[in-house]
Formats: sequence, C-alpha cells, structure tokens
Amino acid sequence: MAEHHGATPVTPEEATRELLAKTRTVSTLWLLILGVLAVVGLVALIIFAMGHPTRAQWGYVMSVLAFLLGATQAAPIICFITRLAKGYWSLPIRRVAELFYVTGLVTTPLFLVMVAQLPDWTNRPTIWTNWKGGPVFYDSVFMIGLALTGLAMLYLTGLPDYAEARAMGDRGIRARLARGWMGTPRQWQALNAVLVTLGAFYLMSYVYFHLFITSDFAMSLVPGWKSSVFPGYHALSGFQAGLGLTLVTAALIRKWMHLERYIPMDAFWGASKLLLALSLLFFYFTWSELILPWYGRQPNEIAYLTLLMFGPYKDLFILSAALNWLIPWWFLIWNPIRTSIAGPAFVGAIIVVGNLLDRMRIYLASWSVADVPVGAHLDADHLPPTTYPGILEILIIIGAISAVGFCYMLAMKLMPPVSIWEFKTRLLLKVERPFLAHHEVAVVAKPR
Amino acid sequence: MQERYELNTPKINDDLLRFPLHTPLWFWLVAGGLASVLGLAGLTYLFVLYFGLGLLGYTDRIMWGFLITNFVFWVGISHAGVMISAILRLAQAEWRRPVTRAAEVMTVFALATAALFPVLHTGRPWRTLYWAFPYDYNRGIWPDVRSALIWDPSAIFTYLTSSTLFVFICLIPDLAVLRDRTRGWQHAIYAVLAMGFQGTSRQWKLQTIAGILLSALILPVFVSVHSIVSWDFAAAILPGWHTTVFPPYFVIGAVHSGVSAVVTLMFLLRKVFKLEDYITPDHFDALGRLLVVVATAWLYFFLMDFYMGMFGGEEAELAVWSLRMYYPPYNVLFPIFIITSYFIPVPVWLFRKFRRNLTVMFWTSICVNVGMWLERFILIVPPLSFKQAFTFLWQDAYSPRWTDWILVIASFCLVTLGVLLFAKVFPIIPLFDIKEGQVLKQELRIGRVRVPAVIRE
Repeated sequence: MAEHHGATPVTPEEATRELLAKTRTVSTLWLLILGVLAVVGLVALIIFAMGHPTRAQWGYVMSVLAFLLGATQAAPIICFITRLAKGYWSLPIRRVAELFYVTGLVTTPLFLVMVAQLPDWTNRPTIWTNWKGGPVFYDSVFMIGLALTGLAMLYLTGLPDYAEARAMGDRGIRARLARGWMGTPRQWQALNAVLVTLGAFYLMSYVYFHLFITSDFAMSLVPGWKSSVFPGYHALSGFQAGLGLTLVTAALIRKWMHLERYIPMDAFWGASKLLLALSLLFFYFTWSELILPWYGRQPNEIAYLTLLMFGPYKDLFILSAALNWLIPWWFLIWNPIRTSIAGPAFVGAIIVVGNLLDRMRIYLASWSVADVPVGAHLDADHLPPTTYPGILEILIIIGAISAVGFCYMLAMKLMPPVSIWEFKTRLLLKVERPFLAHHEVAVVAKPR
Repeated sequence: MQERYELNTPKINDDLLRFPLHTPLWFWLVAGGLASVLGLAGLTYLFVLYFGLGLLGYTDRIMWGFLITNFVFWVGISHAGVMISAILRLAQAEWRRPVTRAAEVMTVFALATAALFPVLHTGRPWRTLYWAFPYDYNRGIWPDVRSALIWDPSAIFTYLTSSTLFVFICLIPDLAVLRDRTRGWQHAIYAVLAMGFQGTSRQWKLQTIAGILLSALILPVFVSVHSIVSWDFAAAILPGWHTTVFPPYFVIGAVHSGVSAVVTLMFLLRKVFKLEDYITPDHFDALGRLLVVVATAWLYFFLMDFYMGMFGGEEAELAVWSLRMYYPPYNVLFPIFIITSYFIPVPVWLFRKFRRNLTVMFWTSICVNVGMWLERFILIVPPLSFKQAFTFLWQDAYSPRWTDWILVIASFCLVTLGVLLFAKVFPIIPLFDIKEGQVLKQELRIGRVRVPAVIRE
C-alpha cells in the first residue's frame, strides 16, 4: 500500500526526537477534566451503593463494566494478532491500542464491586459446577490476572522507547523504567518472544474471561437462558469495539498531536478491512444467537428471547444491530471510505456507541430478573419493565469512561502515542520503488 | 517466504503442463483402481436399493449414521477452497499462489460427493425431487420450506455453482495457454473453454476483477453452507444438537478439516508430480501456522458446546455428554477424536522445524481428518440414541455394516478420482498465478541481510 498523502519521509532520528517530544504535549486541561469526572463518578458510585439499590439498578454499572472489559481490554489484542500475522500496516497504531492496557486499573476495582452484587449462588446454573468459591473467587482471580498481564505487556512494549528517551538525555522516570535495555540482539529476541507468549496468554485469558462474564453475570441470572454461542458473541463484539475504539483514538491523536507523518492512511485502510469482517461476524453471531431458540420455540427460549431482544429492550436491540452491523457494513463496503482516515474512524465511533448500547441491553435485561427465585420460570408475558438510569447511574457511566481516559492520557505522558521502535521497523520494512509503468509502488519486506 | 526459486515462463509452462499433456502409465493404473472401487460401491448401492435401508445398519432410533456423517464431513472438506483461495486472495497472502487451484478443485469434488450422500440416504433417490422441488402446482403441494431437505440443496447447489464458476474464472488464462499448446480435438475443446482469452490488458483486468468479486461474494455462501448443515441438527429440539454454537462451530471445524486436507493434497501433488520448485516447505509452514489458529478456534467452540452442556445441569443434556464420553464405543472414539483433531497436531505445528517437515505435516493432516470424521460421528449419532427417557438403551449402539463402510470408502475414491482427472485435463497449479508471483517478487536489503519482499498495491 503506497503512501497516499504525499507526506515528507521521516528519518529514524527525527522520529525519535519528535515522538518523544509529543509526550510533553499531552493536554493538562483534558487530564484535569477527565480526572474530575472520574472522581465525580467514584463519588456517585459510593452514594449509589449506600442507597441499597436493587439488582436491576446495578444493571447500568454492570453494563459500563462489561463495555470497558470488552472494548478497551480487547483493543491491545489487535496488536498481538497483527504482530503474529506480520500485518505491518498496523505498526503505526499499535501503541494507540496498547495504551488501553491501563484500563485494568479501572476495571479491576469496578469488577470487584460488581462481583459482590451477584445474587446467592446456590443451585444456580454455572460452569463452575460445585467448586467452592465460584464464581466470586475464580472470576476475581482471572480479572486481576488479566489486568496484571496487560500492565506487564504495556511496560515491556515500551522498554525500547524508554531507552530511547534515556539516550536522548531523559533522566526521569523513563530512564529508570528502561532498566538495562541496550537493544542487543539477545534482548530484542527475548522481547519479541515475551510479547508473543504474553500476548497469546492475554488473548486466551480474555476469551475465557468472557465465558465467565457471560455465564456468571448474565446467563445464570436469567432462568432458562443457555446459549453456547453467547460467550463467543460477547468476546467477538468486544474485539469489534476494541478495534473501533483504536481507530477513533488514533484519528483523534493524529489530528490533535499532529502525527500525520506517523499515522498514515494505510493503518486505517488495513484496520477497516478487519472491522468490516468483524461487523459481518457480529451479524452472524447475533443471527446464530437468535435463530435457533426462535426456531426451537421452547417456552424458556421464547421467554429469554423476549426479554433480551423483543420485549422491554427491543429498541436497544434494534439500535445495537444497526450500529454494530448495518451501518458499519454499509459504510465499509465502499473502497473510498476504507481508504480514508475519517471514514474508518467514524464507523469506529458508531461501533463503540453500539457496543455500549448492546451491553446495556444484555445486562439491564439480565440483572432485571436476577432476583427471580432459582428454579422458577420466566414468563414472556410478564417481564420486568425497562430500567431507566437515574442521575447517579449516568454519572457512574461517565465517571468510569473518564477514568479510563484519564489513565490513558497519563500513560501517554510516559509513552509516545506511536511506538518509536515499531515505527523504525516500519521504515526498514517498507520502501517505495519504481516499477513498470507505475511511478512508484510500495515494496513490503516479510522477514521470518 | 524464505525459499524462492527462479522460475521463468518456459519452465513454468513445461513443469505445470507436463501432466495434462503427457499421460504416464501409473495414471491409468490409479484411475482404474479408483474406478473399480466406485464400481463396487455402485453395486453395493444397488443392493441397498433392492433390499432397502435395513442393509445400512440403521436402528429404530438411529436413522442418521455413516452416510450423514460422511455428508457433513465432505461439506467440511469443501470449505478448503474458499478459505485458501478467496480469503487468502483478499488478504493478499503471497504464499497462496500454488495452493489455490488444488483447494478449489477439491472443494468442487468434495461438495459434489457430499451432495450425493443425503440422496443415497433417502433410500429412494428418485423421490428426493418430490421433496425438494414443487411438483404439483395445481394441487398446491409445495416443498416444506421449514425442512432441512430444502435448506441443504439450496445452500449446497449455490455453493457448488459458485465454486465451479470460481474454478473456471481462475482457469481461463491457463486454458488459453493449453489452447496454444495443443492440436486437434484437444485444441478445439480448450479453445472453446478459453473463450477467446488473448491476454489483452482489458481481459486481464476483467479476469482479476472477476476473481476478486467472486472471492468476496462466495464468502457469505461459504459461511452459510455449513451453518445450514449445522441447522439440520441444531434446529431439532434434541439434547446434544439444539445448541446455538453449532453454526460457527461447524464452519470453523470445516475450515480445520478442509485446510488439513489441502496439506494432504499438496504433499501428494508435490510427490506425484515432482513439483518441488513450486510447493516448498514454506507453503507447509504457512499452512501449519494457519492451522494452529484455526484448530485453536475450533477447540474454543467445541469447549463452548461442552461447557454449555454442563452449564444448565439438564439431565437429558448431561446424559448425552455422558454417553459421548463414557459409554462404548464412544468412550474409545471420543478421546481418539479429541487427541487426533487437536492434541497431536497442534503441539507439533507449534514448532517451525516440524511445520517445514513435509512428512510430519502429511501425517498430522491425516490425523486431523481422522479426528474430524469421528467428531461428526460423535456429534450426530449419540444424541439420536437418546429418544425417550424410558426406552433408550446405552448398549443399543449404532453399528455400521459392510455396506456403510464401502460407501464411505468409495466417497474418498470419488474425490481422489475427481481431482486426478481434473489434474489430467487442466493444470492443478495455476500458471498465471505463479508467473504473477514471480513478477511481484522483490528483495530488500536490511543491514547485511537480504529480506524477501513483495510489491503491494
């Protein structure tokens, strides 16, 4: 893929200097705003919890947690997958995605709050059979493990950049974080091996964590709901939203931090193809989730389908389908949109919103019936009404998202938004050469 | 790609057209042997037609046995073509070039073979038409659109048509080469098939656009075919079958077995046609890496099916899983299936050394398909044993008869013969694709190392 914006080429030295300088341009005003909103959200959560809310009211907190667990914690997985598949188009946006590893600092405490809100576990359907401590203990351990792995990966992926900062005379925290990194072949080999191994572990943990979330925090609360495609659907829509979030963030950072030379259109083009595939898969998984219970027409199946899709949350279901599948599909099938910056970023934003609404549909619905006695049946004709948010719930949602933004921007003060070492790799692996009648074509190297 | 051979146009033409233009003796022997088995199978089926389906080992409860297992298996194998050809083409994976046509051709023959089995299974094949097509408009008798007997033919014939078209479109430039290198009746046939292709820039452009468009359009068909096959089971309210993960689980399982079958086929083609310059360890390496991902995704869906079987704690569901895992003969078949489909091949494929060892790749790919055939059998047959709470007997296992075995073996012979005959008439490795790959091939110097590179649009 050739460069399409005619930007002047960047030398490695220039890239190092300029990208490190960008860490000083992170907006303090925005940090302050996001920090204040996060604190307001935290205060709102405390007041909310002290008011002894019903489980149905906790549905909004669970929704935003599930959204963050899906979208923000999936974003870095894009790096691992493209690293493994040698998708060099993603090099410029890998750091943008990887910075979302910091989300673990927000989601872990919120998760621990929510796990305490689950109803009594006795005789409920569960994948943990009769293990003591499940799901509270095992889910919490998994959550903490996932967050720690993410933070470890974030640190490791930044090592060469810290060393660059140290080499440029930085004697602060980055020089200390660089530790003994000298960039020897052995160190590079070790770094690549660790990133692949930890990445695989993170991916597996993420996917399995979605099984736990969906079974313990959604399906087990709804009498009769048992869908084997649902964990896959949940994880996949998380990936989709993660990629969407990466594209929106990359477009914003590119614009506000003037990184046009570092985040080229190629990255958006490559990512948009993946986003199109994920949007189609979203439809496929939703359809699988819907068609078989609908066709089976067992009373419990009809009841849970009504609860989740055709009853009190019908509007959210329709909106979710439109924002996660129909609109992205319609936009992304057009090459001019895929080969732009604004197009994929706009679709990414739509998908992020759609994912939040989808999580609301799932968790508001399931938490609204969480107090139905174990063994009782759900009656499709007598379902609880839609749960609407109060001011506290709205503040909690805004606060949780702001807290993620705050942590993200704080991390950007340490790490450049474009990975210096990966950008330099890209400079080595991609050149432009004259070829036949073309003026120039892109030649991409594929080392082993 | 690490291994690159300098291949000029005359060499490519000579190497890849050798078999279509010259017939060795072994071809007649192998084709004759395969045809003999098919003849025996035909005779066997005549027995079945005369004496009835009782010859096939069905019981009062288990009315779907080897033939339907085989149907699902071959539909699965047919997913190789699109996975390798369409998806890798869209992903611009350079290593796909020598692999695509063999995969596409296997798709067509596997699908045609698969389509045969439900028809054989009906016992009265001529009546199948009545079930699948409207036959008496005046009386308002229509096929039941809620029936899998309608869904399957629709999906399979759409896929078969589009796959055949896909093979043909990609074959046109090579047909033109064959036309220019033959005489007499062969020339006449190739000339008709080449449809006047002269290699003008407009023709190349159209051919490329058609290939890309077909790649994109065939993808939904590819996904829908095995999803619909999975609905044959999942739409029934039968414990063990009625589960929402079946569509993606079947599709990814199909890709797993299909890509493994491509590995088997590539190994055989390389050996038989001496294509060492075209099918290199790099291709097996790439296929091995792809298979690690596909197999792991397949295992994930299998585990979701398993976990959700446990999740509800429903007695009937647990009984089916218990039958699958603890009662003979499934207690022997189940570990064989899971070990051969995943736990032998995937750890082996994790090592580059083994991925580049062709013999290892060949045997592990065989291993996968043994496992995947058993998977289909275990998915289909044990739930049928569970009919009513008071009447099912665990001991009353399905026991295939000699007729079942012959028909299953014959299906392998039919696909092999189909691919062999195709390779006899048309180049099994696309000439134009290999030539294009040679043109786009580049090298970059990074430090002291020369790294293989490729031109990207």
